[in-house]
Amino acid sequence: MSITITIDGNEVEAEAGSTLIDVAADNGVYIPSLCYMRGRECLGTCRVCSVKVNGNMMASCTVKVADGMDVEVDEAESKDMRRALVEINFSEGNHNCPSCEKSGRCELQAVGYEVEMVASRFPYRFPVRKRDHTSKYFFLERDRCIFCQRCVQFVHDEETGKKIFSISKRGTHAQIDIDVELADKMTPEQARKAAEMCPVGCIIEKGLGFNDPMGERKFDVKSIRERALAGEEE
Amino acid sequence: MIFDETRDILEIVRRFMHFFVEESCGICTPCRAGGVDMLNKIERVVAGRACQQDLDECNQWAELMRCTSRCGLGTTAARPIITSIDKFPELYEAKLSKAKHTLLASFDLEKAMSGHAEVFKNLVEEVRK
Ligand code: SF4
Ligand code: SF4
Ligand code: SF4
Repeated sequence: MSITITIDGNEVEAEAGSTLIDVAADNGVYIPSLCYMRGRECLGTCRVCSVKVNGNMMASCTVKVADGMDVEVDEAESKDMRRALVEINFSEGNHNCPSCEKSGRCELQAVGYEVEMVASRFPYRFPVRKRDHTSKYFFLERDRCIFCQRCVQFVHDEETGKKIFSISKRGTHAQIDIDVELADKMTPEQARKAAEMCPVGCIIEKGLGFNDPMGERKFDVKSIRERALAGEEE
Repeated sequence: MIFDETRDILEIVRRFMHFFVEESCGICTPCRAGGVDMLNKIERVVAGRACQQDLDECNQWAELMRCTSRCGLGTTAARPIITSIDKFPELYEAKLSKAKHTLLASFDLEKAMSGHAEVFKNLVEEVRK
C-alpha cells in the first residue's frame, strides 16, 4: 500500500512498512549510519541514524514508515546528536586514521566526514585492548571495534551455521572474539567478505592494507553518501 | 525512592550512575560509551574539580543518552543527573572548582604526581637500607 510521509517538509510516497532510512535514501535524503546494511536485518546498535519522527528521536533503521509520519533529518538538535554519536566512537577506541589499514575504505571515517566532525567532544580514553592474530586470515585490532555486531550476526560457518565472531563480556568490558577453528575453515572469499563487512579497521585481512593510493580508495572514488543514495547494498 | 535530608544527594547520583554503567549490556553506543563519560563527569563534580562547562555537558550528554539509547536502561540512566541538576542546582554550584589561577579545573594534581610520590618513596627506602 502506498502511503505519504513528510521528510524535512517535503511529501514523499513510500510503501507502508518499509524502513525509514531506506525511504529517505530513495528520496535523496542521506541519513548516516554505521551498523545498518541495506538489504539485511536491522541491528540497531550504533544509533547514528537517529532522526526526529513526529518530534521524538528514533533510530531510522528501526522505524517502519506509516502514513502521515513527520520526519526531520536536517534539524539542528538531531544533527548534533548524530555527530556526538560518531564522535564518541572515536574517543571510546583508538582511531589513528593515517596509520590505519582501513583508511579510505572505513565507514566510521567516511561518516565522520559526512557529519562534519573535527575532534571528539568526549575525552579520549586510549583503551588498551589486546589484538588477536591467531587465526589464519585475520588480525583483530580490538581497539578499533565499535561493537556494531555485523560480524556477530552476519558471519557464520557455512557447514554448521555456527557464529564465528562473538562479543564476550558486557558494557565497558565488552570484547570481540573469534572462533579460530571455525575461522580457519573459511574460504578466502568468505574471509574477505567478513573483513569488508566490518565498518572499521577491526577485522583486518592479513596481507592487505594500503593497497590503493590516496585518491583511489573506496570512499575517495565514491563517497559513502553517494553510495547510500544510490541504494547500494554492502 | 525516599531519602531524608541527611543523605548526600550527589553521592546518591554518583552511585546511580555507577550502577547503570555496571548494568549496561553494551549493545548500543550512547549507553555503553556515554554512561562511562557521564560517570567520569559526576565523579569530577563530587571531587570538586568541575567547572560550569562540565555541568552544561552533563546536561547535554544526559540528553543524548535519553534520546538515542536503545532500551529503557540507557534512556533512564542519566535521569538522576538531569533531575538533580534541575532541582538542586545549589548543590552542584557549591561543588564547582574554586581553584585560583588554574587553567584546567579537571586537572588532578595528586593523581598526576602519584607515580612520582611512589618512586620517591621507593628511593628513600633504598637509601635507608
Ligand atoms: S578504523 Fe576507521 S576511523 Fe578507526 S583508525 Fe581506522 S580508518 Fe580511522
Ligand atoms: S569487529 Fe567490526 S564488524 Fe565486528 S562488532 Fe567490531 S566493528 Fe563491528
Ligand atoms: S540502552 Fe539498553 S541496549 Fe543500549 S547498551 Fe544500555 S542496556 Fe544495552
